[in-house]
Amino acid sequence: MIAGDSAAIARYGFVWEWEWQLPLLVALVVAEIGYLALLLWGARRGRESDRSRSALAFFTAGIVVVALAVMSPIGANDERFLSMHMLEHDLLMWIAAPLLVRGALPLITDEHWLPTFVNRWFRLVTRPPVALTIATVLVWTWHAPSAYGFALTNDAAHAFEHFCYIAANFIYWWPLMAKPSEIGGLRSNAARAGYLVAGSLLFGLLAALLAFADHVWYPHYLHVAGATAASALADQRLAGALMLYPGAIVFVVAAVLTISASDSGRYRAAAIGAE
Amino acid sequence: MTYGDVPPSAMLWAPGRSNGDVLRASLAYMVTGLASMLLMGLLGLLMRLDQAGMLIISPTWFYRVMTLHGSGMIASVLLAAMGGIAAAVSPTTRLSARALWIALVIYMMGNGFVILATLVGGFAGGWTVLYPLPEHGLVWSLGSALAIYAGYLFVALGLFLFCMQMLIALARSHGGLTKALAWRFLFSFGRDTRDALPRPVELIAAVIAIDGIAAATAGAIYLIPLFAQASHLITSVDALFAKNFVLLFGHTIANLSIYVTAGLVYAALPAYAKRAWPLTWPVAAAWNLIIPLMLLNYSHHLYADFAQPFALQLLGEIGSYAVALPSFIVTIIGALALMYRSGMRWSSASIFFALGLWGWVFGGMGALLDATIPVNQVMHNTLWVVAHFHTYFVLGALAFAWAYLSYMVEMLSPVPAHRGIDAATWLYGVGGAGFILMFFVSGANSVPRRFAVHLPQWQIYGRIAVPFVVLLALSLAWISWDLGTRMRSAWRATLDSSGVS
Repeated sequence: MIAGDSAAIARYGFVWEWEWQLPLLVALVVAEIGYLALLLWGARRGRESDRSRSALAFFTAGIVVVALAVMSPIGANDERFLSMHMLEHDLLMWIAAPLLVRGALPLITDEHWLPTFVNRWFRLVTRPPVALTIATVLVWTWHAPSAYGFALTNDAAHAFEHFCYIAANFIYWWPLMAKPSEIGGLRSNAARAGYLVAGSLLFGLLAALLAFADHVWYPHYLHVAGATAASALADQRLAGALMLYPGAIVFVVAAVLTISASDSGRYRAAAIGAE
Repeated sequence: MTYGDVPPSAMLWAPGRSNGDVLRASLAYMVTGLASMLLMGLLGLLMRLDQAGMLIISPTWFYRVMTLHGSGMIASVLLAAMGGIAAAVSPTTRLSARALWIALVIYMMGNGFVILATLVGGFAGGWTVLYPLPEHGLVWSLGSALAIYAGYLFVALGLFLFCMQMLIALARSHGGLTKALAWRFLFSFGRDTRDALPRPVELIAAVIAIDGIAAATAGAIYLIPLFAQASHLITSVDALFAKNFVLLFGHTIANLSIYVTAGLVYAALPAYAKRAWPLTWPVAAAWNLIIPLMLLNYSHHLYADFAQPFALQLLGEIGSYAVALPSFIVTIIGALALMYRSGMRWSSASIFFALGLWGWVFGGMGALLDATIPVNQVMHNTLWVVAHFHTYFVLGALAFAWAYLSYMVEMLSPVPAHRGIDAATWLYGVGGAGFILMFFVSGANSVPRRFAVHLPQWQIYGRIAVPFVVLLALSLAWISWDLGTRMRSAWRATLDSSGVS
């Protein structure tokens, strides 16, 4: 990770290099091992093995996408090009986070092993309005020029920023991917459609503000060696477009995957549950 | 809940099975569409206040607002109409609720793109996005032009998905598309009735689905080269090609919203006239004719383009005149005949239907005049054009859409309408008529359309129109409040898995 004196070191132009980050690698391996241990423990307590195997595959894929986003040439160029940085965020928010949710579903929806306070807390944050608010606030706050600028000058803050994106979107995607009977699961197609449209608009608005701005938001990119005001603005517009258009496709795919053929049964189950 | 004396042609529930999933999706379409329409209407009020000299908006913002108002209003009305037609066919046709919800999400994301392109991106090239203007905007970037194109692409995709599944479902339920279109009955001049005839609303749904697919395809054909040009894959696009395809897309979509809502008249008016409205030969012939005619009449927007081939101009004029015959003569006379001495039950819904028939006639007459080439040469760039399509929309398509939503809520909810709602509906008619009349008068006095700043001598029309727009807004607020208070119970009623037969 280039930090502190990034402006002096960075060179304009895409660099085909990988940026190996030991702390991140260790964290991802620990997460994978921890997940595997929890899964095996759950299997011993009688959880369906088929569901566990698919969950393991999804979780592992999510971990791999995080590694690719941050350490591949996409992440390695994130301080030279805002567009690469936004592409990195796209991968974390829209590919890695849903995969991790899919992997975590059998663990977290198996409420019995979770400590009560964690269970309560998770129930609260995965309530759809709360989840949408948390995700929006976190993503928007980290795109504020001061917060973003700080992250570029501090490795720990930068890592925390990426963690926030994953966490925010983990919470956002949860209500859509959980079954109606599971914690936080949206119960009707109407709710799912509304949640998807609201999410796409809130993320889309941020992308549009970036794409259509007539000045450079983040001065860091003006100081990259070889960059000009025009090239930085063009890069910023590309960054906005990379959030706006692939984001829309992600939400369409999510609609296809999460909207069900009939939700009458869900309503009845919810009504019975409420009684 | 029972139908009472509602004839089967106006039924909402599928006998013996549940269509509640589809009815819920339909309600979502209608409520979303009509709520969006209210917001777009407020933007319209803003523009009229500006033209009246009562509120000053900068020209840059005026054209942004105009673009959003135009595109948003057409998308909103069409969305409400799609919801209505899905509900109307659902008792006898198994639609996929999943496809309806997915289409809604895609469609609304398209609307989101349009909002972002105009309000954030500053796109102000008008809802028609006539090439090459979007590419060369002086006050907006190419990025915002691409965003509005993307918005239209998503709207087209949503419409395409909706129409495809409607067509497939109708063909399945009738054993083939030709049977859904009643062709054996049609081409035997009504003698061959071996096939079970579709209900009029089913035939209309098939017709609009075909035209909807054609319109969405035209939109894609228009947009693909523009995206290619923006990506520098090609250097230019033929402007005449682009204009023809964008109008084939946009004009057909605007037309679709009117014709789909006309289908709702067939579906619900029998409930108030307490008479059945079965498929007759003239109805089958008229609506089958709509398939080609709706795709031809867009060309009347290109009369001023000297490069347009003469044959297309001629087709535009013929199509514009011919399309009036089936819709006016068959639907309006049919509806009036259904109502005549029927002991009509008057409620908000049936008043809306009556207003809609009135508006359709007057809007259509204005359109016919504008479609006449010598008149068009003089009137096309005046507020006359704005007058005719506002008549179509406010007192035609929208009135029908509000009517059908009121009908659905009335059928589904045990909660009765509030007192005075009939009066509110009549006020909608008065407000709408006064508002539109001022557009007609302005047009007749050659006040140009699409002008952000009106000369002092033109402002009087706007000033007279504004109180009528306020009346329209107040009546809609009243009607929306009434429907809103009954919507929850209507929604719950759709959860009844057995349905009511």
